[in-house]
Amino acid sequence: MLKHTQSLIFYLITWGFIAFGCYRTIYQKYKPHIRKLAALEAIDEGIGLSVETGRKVHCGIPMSGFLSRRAAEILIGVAIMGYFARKAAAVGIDALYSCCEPSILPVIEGVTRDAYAAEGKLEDYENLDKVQVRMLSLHTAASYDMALAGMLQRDNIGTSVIAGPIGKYSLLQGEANREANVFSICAISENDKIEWLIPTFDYVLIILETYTAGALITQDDVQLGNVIGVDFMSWLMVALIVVFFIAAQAGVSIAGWS
Amino acid sequence: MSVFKNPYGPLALAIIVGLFTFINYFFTGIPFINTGATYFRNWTTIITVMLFWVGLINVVRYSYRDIAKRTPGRWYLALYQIALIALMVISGFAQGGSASVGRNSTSLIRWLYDHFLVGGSMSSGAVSGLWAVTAIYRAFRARNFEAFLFLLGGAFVILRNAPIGAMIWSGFPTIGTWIMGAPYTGTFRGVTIGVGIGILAYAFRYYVGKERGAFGVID
Repeated sequence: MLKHTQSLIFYLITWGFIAFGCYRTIYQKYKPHIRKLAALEAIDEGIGLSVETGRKVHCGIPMSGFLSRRAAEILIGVAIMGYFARKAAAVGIDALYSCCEPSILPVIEGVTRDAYAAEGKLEDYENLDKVQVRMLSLHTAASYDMALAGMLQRDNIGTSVIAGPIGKYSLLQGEANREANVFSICAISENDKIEWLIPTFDYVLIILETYTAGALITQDDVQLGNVIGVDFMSWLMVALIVVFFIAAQAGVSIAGWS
Repeated sequence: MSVFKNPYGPLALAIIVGLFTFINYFFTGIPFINTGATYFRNWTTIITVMLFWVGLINVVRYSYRDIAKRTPGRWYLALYQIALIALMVISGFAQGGSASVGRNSTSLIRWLYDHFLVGGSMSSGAVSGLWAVTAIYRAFRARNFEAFLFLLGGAFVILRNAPIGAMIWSGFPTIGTWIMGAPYTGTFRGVTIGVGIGILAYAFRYYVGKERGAFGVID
């Protein structure tokens, strides 16, 4: 017996487009052009800048835990942290990784450790003077942001990346970055406070960019097919919005929606 | 390689748990799936509660390190932090049970929660309010055309919410309300649809085992 049928239809249409995209990339060897994401390239730039100025780098997941509805965003943040850790490990820079919730802690410890192991820098990871994975706060996202603001100053951090679920207090993060003269990058995965984060951070990955960053990093066929499917679905949604807008103006109801 | 060290083990487990939850959300009348999904949800809660100890150990570990190394400007704060943690844990265990944390409870842990945690949290929020003002000032600087539009929209919405806006000109609340009702809501819904499509794309990669970054698989 089916329930939530309308949602299921939306799911299946989206996945149908993505499956078609994967068919194009895997079997027809089609390589879609994906524009370069400035914020993703800025991670390299930021790490390089910190190496030159002898400062540390930081990457954090500012709020929420795996029991919340934002677990998918956390996983995306963790994946970006893994990418960042691998870049940091490659150049041997001192790094701090942080989270707000204990349920994320073992996951980010595992991912960062694997990133250092993949670069053959496990001894760096074991050295607490070089790499630290910290849980900064449990109570609220505000506490995390205040703790991180202090850490940016005390630990002489040159580049800071925050990714995953980001709350309203991250506006303070933008200001704390400026106070500590930190090169700041933010990966937004939800529409929360997007209007604040874009003007206050140096570089921002905006929603679908965050979700598709993996395709650009890996150039994997399935990931690239995903991007094609997402594009098709986005165009379909735009078309539906236009059709429903015209229908609403004309006073016509389609499928009970007006 | 041990099954516990192999990243594909947790990945496979995550996919199975995800599929159970997914099928349970859309289909009824499959007892095996429904029971399994309920079990998995309960296990998640139990595992998450256990992880509080991991967080506690992490905080104590770094605080202890600062104390042992007498890190200038930090060691006494770390000591204070450990003392507060110990006080909360001991009072929690000594006066355990749901009655001791109720809103009207007179227990020590409730008092600590109300006067240390809530009070401290509110205070830090108030202090950060000053930063919010300077952040808003920087965000509102019209550095380019987009930032100018942002400033314009923000100004109308502020004048709509502040009583002085209507006193200056009665059109300010009308324009502010239109901005909130039409361009803001329309854009916000567009972004929300984008988020939904993005999460579905992520779910697809997750179910086919291609979203492996969070499981420590290095591509």
